[in-house]
Amino acid sequence: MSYLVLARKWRPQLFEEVVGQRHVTKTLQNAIVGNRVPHALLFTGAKGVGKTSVARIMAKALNCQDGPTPLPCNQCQFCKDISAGVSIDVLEIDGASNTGVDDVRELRENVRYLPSKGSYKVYIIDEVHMLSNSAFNALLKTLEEPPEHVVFIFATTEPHKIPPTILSRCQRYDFKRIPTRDILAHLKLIVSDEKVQISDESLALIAREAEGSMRDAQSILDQAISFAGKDIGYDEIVEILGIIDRKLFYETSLSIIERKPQRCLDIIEDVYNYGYDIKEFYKGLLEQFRNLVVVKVAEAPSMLIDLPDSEIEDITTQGALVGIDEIQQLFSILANSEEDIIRSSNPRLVMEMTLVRMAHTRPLLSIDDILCKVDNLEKKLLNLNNEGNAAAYMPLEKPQFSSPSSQTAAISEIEHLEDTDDTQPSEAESGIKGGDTKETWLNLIGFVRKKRPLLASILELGHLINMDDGKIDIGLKKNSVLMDSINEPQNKKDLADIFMEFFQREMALNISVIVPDSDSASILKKNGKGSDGVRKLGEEALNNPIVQDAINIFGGKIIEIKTKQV
Amino acid sequence: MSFKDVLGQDRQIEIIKKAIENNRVPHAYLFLGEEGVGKKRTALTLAKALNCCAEPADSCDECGPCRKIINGNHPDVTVVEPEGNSIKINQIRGLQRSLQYKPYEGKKKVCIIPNAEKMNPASANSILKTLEEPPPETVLILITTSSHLLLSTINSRCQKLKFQPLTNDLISKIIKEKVGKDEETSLKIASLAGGNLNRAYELSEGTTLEYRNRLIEKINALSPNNINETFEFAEEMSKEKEELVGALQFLKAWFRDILIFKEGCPLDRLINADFLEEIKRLSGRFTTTDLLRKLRIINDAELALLRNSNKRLTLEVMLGKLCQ
Repeated sequence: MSYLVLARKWRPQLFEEVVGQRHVTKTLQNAIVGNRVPHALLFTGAKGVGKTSVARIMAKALNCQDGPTPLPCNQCQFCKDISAGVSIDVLEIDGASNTGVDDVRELRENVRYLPSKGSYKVYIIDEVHMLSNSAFNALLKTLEEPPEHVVFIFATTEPHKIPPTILSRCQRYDFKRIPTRDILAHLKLIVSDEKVQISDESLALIAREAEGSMRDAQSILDQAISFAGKDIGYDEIVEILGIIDRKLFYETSLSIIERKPQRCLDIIEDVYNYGYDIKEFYKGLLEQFRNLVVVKVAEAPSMLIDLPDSEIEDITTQGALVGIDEIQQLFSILANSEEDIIRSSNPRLVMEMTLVRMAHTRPLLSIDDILCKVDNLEKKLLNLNNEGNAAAYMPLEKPQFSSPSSQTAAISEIEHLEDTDDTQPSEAESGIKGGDTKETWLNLIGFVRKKRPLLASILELGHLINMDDGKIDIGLKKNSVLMDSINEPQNKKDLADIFMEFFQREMALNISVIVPDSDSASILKKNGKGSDGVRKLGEEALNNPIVQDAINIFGGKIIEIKTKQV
Repeated sequence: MSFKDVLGQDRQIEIIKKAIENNRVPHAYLFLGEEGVGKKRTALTLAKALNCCAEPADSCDECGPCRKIINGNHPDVTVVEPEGNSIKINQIRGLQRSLQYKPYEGKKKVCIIPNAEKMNPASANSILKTLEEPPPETVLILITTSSHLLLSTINSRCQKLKFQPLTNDLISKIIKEKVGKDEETSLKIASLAGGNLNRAYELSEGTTLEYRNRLIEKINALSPNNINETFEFAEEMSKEKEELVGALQFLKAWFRDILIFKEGCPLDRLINADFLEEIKRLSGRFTTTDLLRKLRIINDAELALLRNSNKRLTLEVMLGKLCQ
């Protein structure tokens, strides 16, 4: 006799035996009692939660010799036939192998005939999501109004692949993942029946590994029994499952938080040498970081973390070492490398690099912290500016303000942000002489811009002719708008005030008219150079014999002279 | 080839043998593990052990059934290999038909599906019912390197057995004995193979080792000032169709070594331990951030190549970035 795995041996045969799906079984039983059994049922849910089993039990309930009954006897010939899968009235069809429209046509042909023994003809189509589109469509009419004696039961893990027209014709039952404690209780039942010695702790481990699927739990237990016989120890379970000791995750996250890349690498080495699956390790580590976030956020973490209290406490202690933003940051680095690790032919390498990267990540500051820092900086800058202004622009009277010590003290606080600032005062210090004149002039314009942008523009367009103690000569082109504007009494007064503020003393403003030719008089050669050059070029162009000829031949006149920008 | 010839998987073999002894062999196994660690070998041995006339829980390699399995003409043992790029639904349907009959001459019908992840969605779904409740006396063995590519419903129907990468010592021993390389070369090959025996065999034949040496030399010689050389290098690499994936692995391992060395790990962890001097020198030159960036660049290129990007362009971009 070939060996039957636990999952098949313990397949529930009655509604009461189904674990963790009471919302489904109760409804179905009541439907039978109330004689309100729908002609089409759709069972959906994750793998290994009982869809196919309930479908078969439902078939039994309908066809049992006492039936339809909410409590099939599981003794009569009908029930036995269904359990053995040989009943001619209950057809279990593999939807994934019989996907075509022809299969459905055949089914439709047969639907018409009455059941041979039982009272219902039950069609169970498993993996129904794999039917082709045309197969689904061919089924629609039958599904909407099948003969009285027919019940369809569809089971699938992927309800989203089923067309809405099919969905709307079925009563849908969603199977839930089975809670860990229910799995645990059921496993206990199995081991006591199989006469296997195993600790509750080990069973809990299996139940947790199964992630809500009874079949997974049963196959792990199966494997444990075949490996260890009737007396199974915790270590053996750990060995079979290749479960990685949670302490390793704890240590890894700690090393990352403490920024010890080397320790991380050591751990990977251990994990690898022990033969653990790196991908498994990755998953565990991801969960560890998730847990770290949970303990920081949740009020009752034990509800959300499926671990013993002592371990949750450890995680909480560790969580206290870091800010939530930092954990989130680390988590996202880890989560981003998922694809690399899973796809890579050498996951160990990727894992190593990810951990090193994490251990080298500098903690992120929260936005609040950054804002706070910016605020402080701003204040310091303001202070410095005030000091700096005083120091910069009163050197003639009070040179001690710009003494290097006070400057550096202030500057060192704002560090490199103020590269320009530390040159400015020294210049002002040296007075308005020679080459620095231009600098001062530009500074002055900048200063004016803050107060009266319009005036600054005028100054910018004008030419500084001379700047001496207490006197500024500015040249403006004849008849220009600027001239009118600057000569307005209000503007003149404002400028005088601003100059007063800038230089900390009276400065007489002297505005003179300059003819373009005399541009060269400007001390700001650079400014002058442009227009000067243009003029010269223009004259040259006019005097060019070819141009002269062109004018003569075509009888034209010069409208505009453009220079080519180089 | 009996179970003791499967090396480095003692725990897994133990589990299988005990299952046979206790008559608790499940109807569906899923063998998980990296390339070249002995999964298929184990599966075939299991098929023999289940059908062997002489040994109760192992294969003798002498009796009729064992010999037939070795020669691949045992009527009850089928191996479903991908047809082209995938395992097609018709192959699975054929398998299901053949499984309906009782074992023809052996004790168990065994079906091995290597590269189970190559089943296309239709065939993967169509095997589900068989995988859950196959006819009596049937054992299905699915083998894959990447269980995440299999349906969760397939994963849940099988007993999973994880195979671990082989240790470097073991690989170097095998290479020394089977290929006849000297001690030093075998060690070098083992550390480059990363636990993959097939890869180790590949490395021990042909010029792969020299190729790695040249690769490392070239990558170190790259400089942003000599763009021509970079492009020539990219062209040369793109011509190596077979070795391209391997080449990127070499590069990754190289920068990983420098990084590991920089982090102060013991020297025996280095993959390219034979280039120790060079590693020492370069670890001073690069910062950790640099190295991580370089590894990321190679990784990106690898992913891009997996998605069929233009080889030469990808490599040019990669090398261009690497030498900055």
